[in-house]
Amino acid sequence: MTTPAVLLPEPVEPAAGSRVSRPARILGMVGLALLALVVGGALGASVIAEHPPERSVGSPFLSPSGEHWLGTDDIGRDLFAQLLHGARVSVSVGLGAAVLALLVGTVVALLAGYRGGWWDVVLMRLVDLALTLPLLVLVLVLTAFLGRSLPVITLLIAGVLWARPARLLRSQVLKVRELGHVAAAEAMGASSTRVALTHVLPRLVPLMSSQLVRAATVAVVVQAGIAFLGLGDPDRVSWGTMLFFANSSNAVLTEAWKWWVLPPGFALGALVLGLALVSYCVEEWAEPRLARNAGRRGRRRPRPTTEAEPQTEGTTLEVRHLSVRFEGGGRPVEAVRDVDLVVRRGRTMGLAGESGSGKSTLSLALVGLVPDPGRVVEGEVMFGGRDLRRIGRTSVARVRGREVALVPQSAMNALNPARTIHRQVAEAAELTCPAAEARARTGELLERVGIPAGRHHDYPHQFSGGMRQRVLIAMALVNDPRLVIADEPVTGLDVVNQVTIMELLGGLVRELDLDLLIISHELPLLARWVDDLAIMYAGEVIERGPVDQLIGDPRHPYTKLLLSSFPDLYGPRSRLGAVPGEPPDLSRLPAGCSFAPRCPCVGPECTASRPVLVELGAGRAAACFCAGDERVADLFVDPVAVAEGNPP
Amino acid sequence: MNEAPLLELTGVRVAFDQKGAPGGTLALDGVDLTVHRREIVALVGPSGAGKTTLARTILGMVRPEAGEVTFDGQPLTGLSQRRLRHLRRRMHLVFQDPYSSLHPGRRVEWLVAEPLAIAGTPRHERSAAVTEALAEVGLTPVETFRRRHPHQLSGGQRQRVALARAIVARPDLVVADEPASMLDASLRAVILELVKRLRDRHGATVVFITHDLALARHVADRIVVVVGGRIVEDGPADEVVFRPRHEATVELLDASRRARTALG
Repeated sequence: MTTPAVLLPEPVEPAAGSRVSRPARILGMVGLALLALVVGGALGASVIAEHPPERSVGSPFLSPSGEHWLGTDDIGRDLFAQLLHGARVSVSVGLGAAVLALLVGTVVALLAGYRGGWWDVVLMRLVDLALTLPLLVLVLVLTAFLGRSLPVITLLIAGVLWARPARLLRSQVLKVRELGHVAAAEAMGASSTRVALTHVLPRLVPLMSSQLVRAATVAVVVQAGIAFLGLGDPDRVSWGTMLFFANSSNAVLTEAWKWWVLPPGFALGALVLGLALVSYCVEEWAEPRLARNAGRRGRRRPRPTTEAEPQTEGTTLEVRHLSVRFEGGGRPVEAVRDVDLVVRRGRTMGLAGESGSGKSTLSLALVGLVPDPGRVVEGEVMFGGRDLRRIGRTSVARVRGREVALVPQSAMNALNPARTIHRQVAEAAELTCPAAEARARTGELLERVGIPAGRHHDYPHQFSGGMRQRVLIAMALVNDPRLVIADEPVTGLDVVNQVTIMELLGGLVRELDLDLLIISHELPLLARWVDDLAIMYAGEVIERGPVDQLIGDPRHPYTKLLLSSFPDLYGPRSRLGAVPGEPPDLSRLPAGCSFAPRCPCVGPECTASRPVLVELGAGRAAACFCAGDERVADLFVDPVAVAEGNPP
Repeated sequence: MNEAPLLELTGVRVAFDQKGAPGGTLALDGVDLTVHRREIVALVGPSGAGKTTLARTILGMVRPEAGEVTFDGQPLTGLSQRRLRHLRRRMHLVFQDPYSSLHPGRRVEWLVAEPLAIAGTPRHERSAAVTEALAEVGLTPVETFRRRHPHQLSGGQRQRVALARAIVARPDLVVADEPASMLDASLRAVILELVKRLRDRHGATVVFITHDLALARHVADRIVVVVGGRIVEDGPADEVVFRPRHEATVELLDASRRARTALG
């Protein structure tokens, strides 16, 4: 029904070399090593240990010796053999119970989540029931009835462990169901079995694997617990039974605890720790967002050492040679390259560009908010007579929100869903004035941006996308900034809302005497509301100038082709123009002009060297070797040729 | 057009589901719509007007409370899920978001062949159709692209994959839900051209959803304006743009006009 928040993908995220952060990878390796040790012991038990574990092979209570590495127990059984054979029990019960529990849990989750209806109601009540039962007690009681053999214990443990994964997987199924490719398969007439198995199930795998490890951990501990209480399989030696016998023969009171209690205790600890570490690693792999947090490091930003030239008279913002680079595993990404940009006092500036043009990264760099692992590597951001790059983080934070305000991208996500919009705007206002005054200002401003008083205490989800965008504008304006930077303020809105928001911004600029920098990919829309325009491509400004001249007579082939790709409302019904080729990959830019691979006017000089912005007079500039060429004026690329893969 | 229409909706009413606004508001309120064979019809309206609900109703994914949807002479209401699924194989939906509408774990060749797999076409017959379709949407060299996963493709290339899938499906009806709105403008023209081609070359009927009248006029033969769950205007594309009758259309036109400067 509503248009979703459209975030044009800006490839600011560097190509991640691995999905898992370094700390998690190291911990995962340690975990795997521990597991390998235990599993190796279990598999090689009969080869490594010379004695059978369940028969008396020497005198009781022997200390460790070359014959009996860990000595013997109260009836002369070899403790080392018991330790190794015990690993078999732990591993097989852990693995068996976990696999069974996951199998049941997944089937239940798919039936409840994907089939839904009565399946969901009945199965989820069963899950609730299973989750409320006291696990250990239940297993203990049931072993009394059903016997104590290992298969029975495995089954019982699985029987209480399936519910947790079932519940988690079901909510994952509900999420996956809403994904586009699931709806697409349904729309193509796929059967529900096909959709469940080929579209839903594969997306559960990450969660399933982390749940599998978790279930195994619990199963190992529960099995050891049962055996320690003396309720385990009497015919099988396990770590739990070793501890049970050690306890019943008062090993703790003698020297014997060192070789009787400690080894099984450590072995159990190693197995559980190994599983936990592996699960930590698997969870991060399943949810890469966790990795960011772990891999984060505070980094000092290098400050320029030379003095900045003073800011030009009559400018609100003057950006010089600004470059932003993302470095995180893989190739560095030059998101912004050597950008000059000026917002003149009293003139609204527009910054247009498509995905990967670096326009959003640039806007964040202006206010010192480049996300990790990006950093400003060069340049000056002159605002109010000082270079924002030289004044330090705390001072930039003070400027931000007071003198310079950013209206962030994506009105859907920028608001806190748990607080009323009034509260959120007032909170911003409290940065500069007392609470009572902040509340009054908030009310006034919300009304000014077109939100009726009756709705000020509603929550973000109760508003449409256009209304939420108004809230963000109010929030930006509440501290009387001199400069407002609006990053894609109309993206994801329909035409009617786009126009209303732009009109609102335009009106506020006049009324409050603000300067405005608007960033957008909607070139025709932007062109109508700004005085000056800059076009970005692959991190560079490739053309700039007063808007009428730039739109009326574009000099860069990209600008010309981009303009031809927007439909005209009243003009002749003709084909829209295309821009051949694919958007630039910022980590593999060509040596010469970055538009050269897509450019119909490309010449030998374009691939040899990089064109810089050249002044063309009247405040205009373009970075192209054929900027004065008349070929640019008649450029048009037929989409049919591009569609067939034969660009001119 | 003497042939029987491909699609006919009469008095269709659809209530919001539980997630939507309660209190008996309707997502669609008495919609009558006839779509003829090999026609491109644009459904235009602001967000929340009911365009997507209308599309989903046409595909039988939403069951109307009242009214009838007839596809190729066959009423959809009252069909069993199984019959409905079968009928749906003659329709195809192209999604707005090329990032989520493709299964991330599958290769292009699997994704494009999926309609054939669903229809039960033998495996060895699928490959040729996939090659042909990929070539047609310009994903060349085909042998390179068919082995790729969606994350190795740009947004424009993903949408081309979605359109190759539409070609392979050989549907009678294609519903394209804002297929270019999430793409860069520079890639838009090619995608729209490929949508038009589904009619021009493959004889499909196309229902094209957009919020922009200017775009609708460039793509469609006919424009249907949807506002507040009702169809307020329906006519030849130029007719609707140059001689709008309903005030909601005038309002949309006004927004479209003010959303652009006279270009170039």
